[in-house]
Amino acid sequence: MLEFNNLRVSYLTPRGRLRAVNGVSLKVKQGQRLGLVGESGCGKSTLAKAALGLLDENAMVEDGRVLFKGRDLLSLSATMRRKILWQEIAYVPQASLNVFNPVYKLGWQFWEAGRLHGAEDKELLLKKAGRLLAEIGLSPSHLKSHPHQLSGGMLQRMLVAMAFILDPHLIVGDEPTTALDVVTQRKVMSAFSRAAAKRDTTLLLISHDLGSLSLVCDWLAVMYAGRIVEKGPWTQVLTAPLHPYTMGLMSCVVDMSSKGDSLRHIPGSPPTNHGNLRGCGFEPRCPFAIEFCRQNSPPGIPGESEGHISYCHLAGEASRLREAAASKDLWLTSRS
Amino acid sequence: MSTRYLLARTGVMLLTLAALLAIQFFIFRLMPGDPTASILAGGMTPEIQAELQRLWGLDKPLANQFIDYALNLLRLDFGISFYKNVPVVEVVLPRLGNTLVFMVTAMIWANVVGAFLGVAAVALRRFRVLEGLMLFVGSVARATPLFVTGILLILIFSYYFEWFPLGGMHKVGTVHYSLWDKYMSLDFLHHLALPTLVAGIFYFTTPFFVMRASMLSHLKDHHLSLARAKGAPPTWILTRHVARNALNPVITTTVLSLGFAVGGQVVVETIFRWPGLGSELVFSTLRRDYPVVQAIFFLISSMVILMNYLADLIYLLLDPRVRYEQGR
Amino acid sequence: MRIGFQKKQGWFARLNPWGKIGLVVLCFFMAVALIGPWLVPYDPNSSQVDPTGKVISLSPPSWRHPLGTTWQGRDVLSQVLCGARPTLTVGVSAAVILALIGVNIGLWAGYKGGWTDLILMRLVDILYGLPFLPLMVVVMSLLSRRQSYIILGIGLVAWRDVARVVRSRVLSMREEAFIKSARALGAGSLRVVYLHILPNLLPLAVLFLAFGLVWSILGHADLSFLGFGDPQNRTWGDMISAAWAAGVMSEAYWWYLSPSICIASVSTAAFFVARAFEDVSDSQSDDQAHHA
Repeated sequence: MLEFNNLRVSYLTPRGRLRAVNGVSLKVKQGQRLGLVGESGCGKSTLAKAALGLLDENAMVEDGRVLFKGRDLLSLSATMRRKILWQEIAYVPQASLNVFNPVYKLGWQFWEAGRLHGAEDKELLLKKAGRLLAEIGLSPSHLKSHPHQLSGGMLQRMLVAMAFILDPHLIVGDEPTTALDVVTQRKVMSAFSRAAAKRDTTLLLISHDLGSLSLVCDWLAVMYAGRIVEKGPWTQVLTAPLHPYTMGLMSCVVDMSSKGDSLRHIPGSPPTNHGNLRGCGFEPRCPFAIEFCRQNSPPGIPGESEGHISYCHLAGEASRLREAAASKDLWLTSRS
Repeated sequence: MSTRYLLARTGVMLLTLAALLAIQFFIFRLMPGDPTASILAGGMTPEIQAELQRLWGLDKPLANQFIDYALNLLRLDFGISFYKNVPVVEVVLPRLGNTLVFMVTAMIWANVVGAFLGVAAVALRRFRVLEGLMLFVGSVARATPLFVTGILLILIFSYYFEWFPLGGMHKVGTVHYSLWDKYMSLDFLHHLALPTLVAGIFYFTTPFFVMRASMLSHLKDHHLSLARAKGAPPTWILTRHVARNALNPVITTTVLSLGFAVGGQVVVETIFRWPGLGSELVFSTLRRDYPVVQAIFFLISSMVILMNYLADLIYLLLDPRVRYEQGR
Repeated sequence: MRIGFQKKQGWFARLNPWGKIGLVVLCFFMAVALIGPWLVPYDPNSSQVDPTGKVISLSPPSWRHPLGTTWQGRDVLSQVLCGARPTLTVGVSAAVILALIGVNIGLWAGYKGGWTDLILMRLVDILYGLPFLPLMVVVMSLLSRRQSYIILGIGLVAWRDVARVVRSRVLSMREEAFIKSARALGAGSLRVVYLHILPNLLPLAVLFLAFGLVWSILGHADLSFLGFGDPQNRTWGDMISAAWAAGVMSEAYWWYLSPSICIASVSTAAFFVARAFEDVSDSQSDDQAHHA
């Protein structure tokens, strides 16, 4: 359905060229629900925008393509792209303060999506919107309200419902739960999951929060420093990670049983400009890195399960590394 | 909108009106220059003068005079014109109508055109020369005194091209049988055209600049990216989102300017000999016909205050966010 | 925001091109205002006679009278040269007055809040209800027509917009950290207002000085045209008024064309400068918003 083909995107800033996406190749198959995780600054938002063909003005695609159903999204004419947007690829952003136009009622905002794609019957569309809202767990009467009258959680659910209004094939979510508390997160994501399942919609959800994505996704891709470092089936990647970064993330996860332990983190911080990297992006912070890692960019090495790929030179020794990663002392030694 | 706020705002407006009334009254009475000088012609004996003063109530203490004045006002009794010897109301009311017709027409088209041009100026930003030109023309139109523009246009269109009459409201000697007749004739419109144009040239500039500035400030709104993600073309974004959000300050400015325009028509009415409040103010002042001057002044001020009040209310109505909070 | 204000280097350079042109034009007219009356070829108020003793009335531009003569045979060029001084005197004086009053009232209304604010703002509301031109017409007819009255009239009435804007600025500044720390250190109100708040308002004050100049020039011109100007200090508006009253507009174009161009140039120049200041202060506040 959606395919990133060795995509490289940079931003032209007054301080020079800042590369955000540094060679990402990722496929999202029809019906998959792919979660993309990464920390702030890893380039995932840029990837999200590229998926819609809506990159910022100062963004430059230096290499690669984004294919939607085989068509190159980035080289489409503006008119063609506008036709596809929302109708085939919809978008669920974070429910921030002015994500909706404060002046119009929410019903109008739904109607706008329809109107832009040729819908003529407002009544019909609003009825459909009402049904969607009910599915997501909101009262259809909220369509008559203005955005500022609803809470963040309700607005997020509105956004989710609105994404489905034209029955798109693919929905891209960009931090759909960041503004919400855990309880609301669960509500929103499960509603999202149900709606998508009912319609067999392909999902690409981008976030830094593994927890909320876990309610929806069946595939996972981990991003670091502008590159995908590991991808595969959700459970596989998390229970048997092949990449040191993923291992580090897993060991840092706090759950009820880690009572009394001090909080762990991966020492150091990620790079800002991903274009300066020659070898592996994670090398400066990787406890297992060797000299070779610094000079050579790691290729994709398949793991045991179908579709599970890791971009690490040491992927073959993954089981040994995993044992070491489980011990907390490993991550406490600062390397940067 | 909470009724409590509405009541408070109305109360403030009425109080301001009252205060204004008092101030105006005392300006007229306390300024040097005897208001009665024109009726008390030299050569009258002191007894007759005293009698006239008593008749006009000018011998009572100032406070009493004020109360009398205020009470009369409530009955819409503005007194008698010194100059014309008819009730002031008869002099002023038709002129009020003339000014209103003129002013409302001018302001409507000025504000509509101004707002549109403001949107256009932002929509056509790519063409920097065009934008620069619009800003230049707008600035010149705003800064040039009305009489300069007015005289220029009269010379061009009335003298040279003879497309429009030189002034006045109707052709000399016309008789009207009704209000409709008066204001809806072709002759009237012909006479209305040039004054409205002149006033419009001045008054379109503020909504133009305000709309443009407002739109520029809304070009970076967050909700625009959602609209783009829905596949909205640039025109849709510009009109349904940017312009709609930018509208609020423009509407407030428009209503406010309606109030100010009342006071500002003095010059245009004088140049075009339009029989309105403004020109009457000047003539009556020159004739020292103080009852008329006072009445006109009060009418004009009241309209300004009323317009301010309306502007506040309209702003509250328009912004759904403000509607749910108490103002102030 | 910082305590105290920073002198911006090269403020002239930051103005947009129209603002620069405007400033140059204004300087030119200020020069004319200063030395114009000394350069006049003839007395602007006396009728000129030709060799036969006949008054040279309404003569078109010629070598002897480059801008022609008026109906009473007065040299137009001389009148124009003398017209700059009252225009700019009134303009600048009134602008200074209205800026001073407006800034101070806005400062105290915003800072003190409570009753002070309420009363001062009601005062502003009342002033809004006194339409400028009618008020000036009435006042000038009741008092005598003196230039100082015109200056006072404009200055005492036109400060309302300044006060409003300054007040809302002060309201938002009141909660800033640097104000609170100054108060915590024991600074009295006067100190806080004039030493800490005011310096940050200086760009705004300059902006209103510029707009005030525009308002004053226009108001004065309108007043003069209607015939209420100071006959001792005749300005361009008075010239145009005389030409209009004489009813010779269509024949003697030169009589009102030069003063019209002059007045339009001055006010437009002032407006360009004001708008250029406005652009600069808008971008400044954008910067501040990003650094906040």
